[in-house]
Amino acid sequence: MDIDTAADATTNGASHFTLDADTFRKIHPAEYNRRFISQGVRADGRPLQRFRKANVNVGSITTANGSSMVRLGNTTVICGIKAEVTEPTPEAPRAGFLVPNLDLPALCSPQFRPGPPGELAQTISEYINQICTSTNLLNLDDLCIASGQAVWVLHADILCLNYEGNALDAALAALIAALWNVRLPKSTYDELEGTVRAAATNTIPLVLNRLPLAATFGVFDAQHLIADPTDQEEPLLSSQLAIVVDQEDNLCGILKEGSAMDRERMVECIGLARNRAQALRRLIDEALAKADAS
Amino acid sequence: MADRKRVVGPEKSVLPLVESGPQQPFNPDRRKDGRSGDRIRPLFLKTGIIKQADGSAYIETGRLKVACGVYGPRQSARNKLPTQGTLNCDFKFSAFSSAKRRAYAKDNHERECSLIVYQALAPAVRLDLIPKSTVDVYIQILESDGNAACLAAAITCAAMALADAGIEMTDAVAASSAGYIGGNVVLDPDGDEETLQNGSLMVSYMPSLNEVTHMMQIGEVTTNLTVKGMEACVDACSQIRTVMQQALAASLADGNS
Amino acid sequence: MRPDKRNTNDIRVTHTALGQLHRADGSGRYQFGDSSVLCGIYGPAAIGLRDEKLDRAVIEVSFSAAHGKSTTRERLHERLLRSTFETAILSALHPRTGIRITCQTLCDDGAVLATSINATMLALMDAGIPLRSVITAVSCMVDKEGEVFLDPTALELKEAQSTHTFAFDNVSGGVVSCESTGVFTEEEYESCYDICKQGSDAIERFLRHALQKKLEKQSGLDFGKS
Repeated sequence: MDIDTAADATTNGASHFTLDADTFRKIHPAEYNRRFISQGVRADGRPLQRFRKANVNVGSITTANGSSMVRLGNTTVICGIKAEVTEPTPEAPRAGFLVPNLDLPALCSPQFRPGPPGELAQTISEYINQICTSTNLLNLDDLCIASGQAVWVLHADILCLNYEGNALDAALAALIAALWNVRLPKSTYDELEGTVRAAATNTIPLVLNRLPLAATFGVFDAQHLIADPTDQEEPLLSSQLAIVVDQEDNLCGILKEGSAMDRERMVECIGLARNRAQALRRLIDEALAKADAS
Repeated sequence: MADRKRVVGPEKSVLPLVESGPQQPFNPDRRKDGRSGDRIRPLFLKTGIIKQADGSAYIETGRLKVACGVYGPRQSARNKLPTQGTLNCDFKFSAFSSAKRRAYAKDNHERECSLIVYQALAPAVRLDLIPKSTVDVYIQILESDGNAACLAAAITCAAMALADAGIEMTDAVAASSAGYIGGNVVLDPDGDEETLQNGSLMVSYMPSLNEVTHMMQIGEVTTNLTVKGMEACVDACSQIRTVMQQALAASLADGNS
Repeated sequence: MRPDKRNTNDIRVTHTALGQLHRADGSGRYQFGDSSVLCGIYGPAAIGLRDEKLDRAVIEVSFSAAHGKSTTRERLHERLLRSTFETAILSALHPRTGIRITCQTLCDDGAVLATSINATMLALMDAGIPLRSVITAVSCMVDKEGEVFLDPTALELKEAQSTHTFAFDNVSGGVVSCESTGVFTEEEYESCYDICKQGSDAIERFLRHALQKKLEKQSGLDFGKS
């Protein structure tokens, strides 16, 4: 049930009762956030265009070929990449596969119910998949074991442990960090038996052509631009914009939904997205360096 | 059948054959990680990791990693018992948690584990105090290392999460596992040791009340050995209980400061 | 030189049709060359208690591809369609109802998202659902040499370095929806924006013409040139 805030009911001077902040937030979420945003700050204390503090860790899941955990504020996602062997398609006998999927289980937020993925998880998975294929993130030919017979398929499973808004940014960052962390074993294809034999230790890293990282923005009340919306702010936004930037400051994707946004604002967002992507890349590099050192 | 709600890759994929190195003979007094047969792996417990949930906990023991989130008490769907609440346990392996990638759909093993977790926790939870409400316990295995150990860790983690959520219980349930390898009781076996065992045991225990809520044994084992196994597990549960208390106290201290 | 000999900023031959589905409250078919989408609107109609909103209509979208079962790709299209029209439709005028938008791709020759947005626009006008503005969409691509082509076919898209679909609203002139994939620079993006804006102005004229024809036929009057 969705009750649109009647501004007069609460801003009218002669109100019969005062609500504590938490109750007010629950029953008038739009008005609650409006009180903050109109003063240039958000409900969690951030300035309008500040992104949440990010935290990256790699290599914690030893059963996976590569793994990472990314925290954007409190939104926590874990990406585990498992490499398995499969037959390539006849059209591309050397090309392997990268299959990303985001899971938003009932564990991570009361808004998700157990069962098959809902619309949000499906759309984010699809968009991440589009970014991987259209930007040529990985040379899929690098995943070849024996042309026409055996190639690697990298299943990148991104799991959200705590959802507090903006799963796309976190999921993409986790995917990139985990891909960098992937180590494949040296393997050979046995023609006679039709099997692949792999070495016991994983040593071969992947070569990534691009490091696309996303920055999501929202527009509140059709005027205020906010960066990195939380789960409380997301349902109240009139429009959302996600911009994906790579390491050479090229754009790798723009996804905009909602009400109209003018050109100047979009250009402003592109600039902010560049800075954010740079900061995230630095964090990922540090996390990878730490993992390699240990 | 391809899952239409996810990005799909190739239909069939398999793990490559890995040449395993020379296997060292199993020594019950000095295992691969240096433990003796009666020691459990060092335990790390933390609550409050999932801010969205009413209660949550994370357990790490050796390479095993389990996260649990509890939502509740919340309103039940209609047609539930009016006299007491419902406990709903959901156990899931993450796709990357074991050597072979797990499918997203729940398989029979996960359904069985969900039931076992329910059986282990339900006697402890005061459902009579929350009529017409449901407590949802969601367990996510991030990395698995030993099936019975994994289940035991999940039960312990769930009990911690329930405590963190403030759900009243008669006692916090601690669970531990053991394997029977060549006439010895080996506590907390990991994945490699499990392949050598000819039986396994998992005990869920309420230390303050000295009561067992759930016990599961698989394999052909003599009664003497079973008794030894149970005693070892109950001891281990008491040790786990100490760690649980410390973790809960630490989280209360964090909450107050 | 494009395979079908168009200029870089020409859209394909456009076909529109309104009111083809007799049982739907409104329907529209839009074609960019060979890409064709049929949209049916059902509503405002009653929906279940669980789904209704007290102060506005609930917009539901269902999008079907030309071939095969629907996958996550169709989910992304549905989300974009829904968010585009949720803001355009004056849903506060029909509280506690549901408006169901069903799009079926009849033929896919590139630019399916833009085609479906235009088809939905036609269908909404045919159904008489009150709207804030007219939303028109067109797509373009940038090839490996950095040249921008408006309304590419599926054949041309094979050589694309990046693809862009823009939906504009005619009241504010801003971008309502945008889906861009591939690798591109900010300058290329700005050129695509400009070229698509021109294209969508042309499409708005087509939509106006289509609606005018329908109203003339219905009323038997001649509205003359606008």
